[in-house]
Amino acid sequence: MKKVKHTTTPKKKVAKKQSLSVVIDKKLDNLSNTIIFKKKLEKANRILSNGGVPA
Amino acid sequence: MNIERYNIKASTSLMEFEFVSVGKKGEIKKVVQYSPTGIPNIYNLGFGDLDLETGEISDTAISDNGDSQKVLSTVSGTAIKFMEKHPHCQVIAVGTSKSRTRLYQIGISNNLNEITQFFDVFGHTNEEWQVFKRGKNYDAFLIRKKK
Repeated sequence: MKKVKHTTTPKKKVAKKQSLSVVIDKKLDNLSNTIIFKKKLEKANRILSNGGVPA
Repeated sequence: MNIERYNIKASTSLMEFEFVSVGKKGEIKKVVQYSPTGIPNIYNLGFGDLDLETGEISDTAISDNGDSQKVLSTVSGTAIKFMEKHPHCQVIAVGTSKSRTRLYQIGISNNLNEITQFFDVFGHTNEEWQVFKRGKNYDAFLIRKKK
């Protein structure tokens, strides 16, 4: 009796994203009153004032 | 393939985030902040290193900790968390240098499939906004929730 070979379709490898674990830390609330990255903000404001926002 | 992310701490408003990069140079504390721009409901993504000795934050330091993919994936995750909490807001990201902006571009490209499930992504070039395309160079990026 002939042996029947059972083949399976190889599973496509998909990049899995690890879920992001977020813990609230109230100490970070202290940063809320300070703009830390002023240079980047200035640059962003320049782009927004010249190029507006996407339609 | 499993794209890893660091665990993050966030402020109550989900506008400030902190995580620790662990790599060949040891542990480097990273800070992400979403701050309001001159246009209502558009927030700037700021991201840099916190010097644990001086307490200073630098957005120009090149940490070269050998984990840039994991770091960028974590930052992109903070953008998603921020916009889940503030769905009416848009996020603009600009690098402090061309190489920094390129890093953002790589980060968006690598996470584009996940981001575009729920968000529209635009790139800014030649004074105009275009739908973000992989492989094209931009000087700024804008992400907003799909309408």
